[in-house]
Amino acid sequence: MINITNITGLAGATLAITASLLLVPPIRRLKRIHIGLLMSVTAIIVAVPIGALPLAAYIRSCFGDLSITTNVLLVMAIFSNLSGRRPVDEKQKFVINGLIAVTALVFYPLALGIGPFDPYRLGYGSLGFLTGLFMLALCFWAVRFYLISICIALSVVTHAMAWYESTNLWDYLLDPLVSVYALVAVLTGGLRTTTHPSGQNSHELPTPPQDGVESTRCP
Amino acid sequence: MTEPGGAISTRSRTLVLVILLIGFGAGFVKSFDRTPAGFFQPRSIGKAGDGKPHFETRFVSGGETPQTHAPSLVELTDGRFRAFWFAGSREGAKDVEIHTAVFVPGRGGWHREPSAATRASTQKSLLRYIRKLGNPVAGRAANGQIWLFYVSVSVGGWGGSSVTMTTSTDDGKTWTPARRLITTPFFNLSTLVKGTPFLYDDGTLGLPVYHEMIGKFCELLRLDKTGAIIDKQRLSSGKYSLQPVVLAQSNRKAITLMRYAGGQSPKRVIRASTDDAGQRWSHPEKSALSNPDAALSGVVLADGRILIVLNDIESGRDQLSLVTSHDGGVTWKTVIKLEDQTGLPGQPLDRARYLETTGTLARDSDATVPNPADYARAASVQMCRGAGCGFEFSYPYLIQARNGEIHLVYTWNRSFIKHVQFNQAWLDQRLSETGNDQHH
Repeated sequence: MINITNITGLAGATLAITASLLLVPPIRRLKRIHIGLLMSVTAIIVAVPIGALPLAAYIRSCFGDLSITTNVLLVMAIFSNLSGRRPVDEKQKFVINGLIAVTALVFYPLALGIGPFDPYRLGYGSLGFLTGLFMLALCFWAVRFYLISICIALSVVTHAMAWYESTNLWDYLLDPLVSVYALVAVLTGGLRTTTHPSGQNSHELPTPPQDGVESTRCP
Repeated sequence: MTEPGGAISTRSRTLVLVILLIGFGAGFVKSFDRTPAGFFQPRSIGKAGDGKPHFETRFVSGGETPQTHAPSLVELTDGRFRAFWFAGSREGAKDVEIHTAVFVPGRGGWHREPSAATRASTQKSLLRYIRKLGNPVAGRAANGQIWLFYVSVSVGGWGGSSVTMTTSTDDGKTWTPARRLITTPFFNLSTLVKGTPFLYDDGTLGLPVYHEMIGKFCELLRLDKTGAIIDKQRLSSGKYSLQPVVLAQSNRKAITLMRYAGGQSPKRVIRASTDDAGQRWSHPEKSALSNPDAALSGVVLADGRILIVLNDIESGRDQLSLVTSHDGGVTWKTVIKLEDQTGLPGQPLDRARYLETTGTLARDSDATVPNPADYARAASVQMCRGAGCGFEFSYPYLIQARNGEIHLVYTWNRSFIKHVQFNQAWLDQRLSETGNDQHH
């Protein structure tokens, strides 16, 4: 019988592959309903075993299980593109990208053995680490940056539920893919602000046209 | 949920707070339930084995595959022994499997059994593509199961390794579906096993692991009774240590010895110690033991003596020694050179001389070998290159049986697994013969 953590892991990989369709310009110019249909078909194709393994399993082999933060951001990107609504504003996006980028820059070198201190160890049930995260999530809730609070809270609860194979909270909070995305977003956003103070962030996925309305602009 | 400070309903704001409180409520419950730090459970085997000194050697594997490496060993509940190693057409090949064999003391040789794990079986269980398998390490869990850990790679070389685990309730006849241990936050890459697992007094299990992708450093995993990782501790950092072995002398005192993977002479085994059951480990330092960037293994006897098997030289792996320490690993004395081809003149040998020498070694290792020349030919496939032929005796794995006897398995010329068995009477006799010679 298939293990529950294999199902959750493969679901994350399927979500990532499906969401990556939104990065393809011709697909972004389709009507929303067509994008939705295409994503649904893609999700089924990558989740169904072809030969020994489903395509999602090969992606999972390379990148491991995606963090809950990545899953939340992918779901948000899909929702934003299919509904035309933006769940969070630019300021929240910048703050969450900045938070992820700074955390990753400190966390990964230490976790990969640059020195004797291993922050990854804190993810194995450290009460101090959990308390710190709780305070951080509460602070962001207080200033109405709900996306960060939700990402942290969902990471903590899924970790408590043993959602993935990993027993370490860090693997639910952060992964290298979302870290690279956040770093690029912060750098390109900062660069754009420097050169075009009123410009829109280039990393943002565009909102597709409303149903029945032809797209008239390139992303 | 739109703008900071903007028009957001009180209901949504409350909903986010509820999610936050539920999430962290579950998190804190889990955190409070965390297993507290445990103490070591040193193996206090008082028996010294049969009173008559004896020392025996034999081959575990019979050359079924061209390449054979990295054995480990576990005693079964009925007094037999089960060995594991990886073997195939070559290291890293797709046909490499985790082989296993069983030995009945007093009844002759080893008997091969069906592989404990294959690439296909691992891939099916993990639902991930698996490119190759490596180092198997077996241990007895507190619940009586055999836990088998082995290396699997999906992408890249050994630096891309992850640790896979499978368990057996029937002493290795059947195995549960494999599962992956998640040990690093970077795509779970670069964690390998080699050192012997050990038990804490609360039934949790310590598993020494190492990394060799960006850095070369050692860590210690602690697994609960279900095999879930509950803690990880760094034993070293940087780029100079691999394959730790943890040797508990009491419930609080232990040393860890690590393969030296740095390039600076003198090349020595790296040593660290703890006096508080591993809460804190001392800064890793070079010991008195030489090490040519090769694995070692050890056990602690009931009287506190530490036994180590290693390549006690600074280059090559053509000598394998059994050494002992009476003072917690500060000073060492050589008991015996189990293998030694360092003094052989004219190395690297030409093929004809290599076949002759290796055939003699095979016959001396196991009198029941039907045709030593076949063993020599198989070894030459692995050990003869353009410049000539060499010897390799490496990757030792040492355990003490419940009757007090010591069992060692190691890679013999990358082609066979060799088994050495002796009792403490032989050890004491040997130490009295060597006197105060060969101190480190």
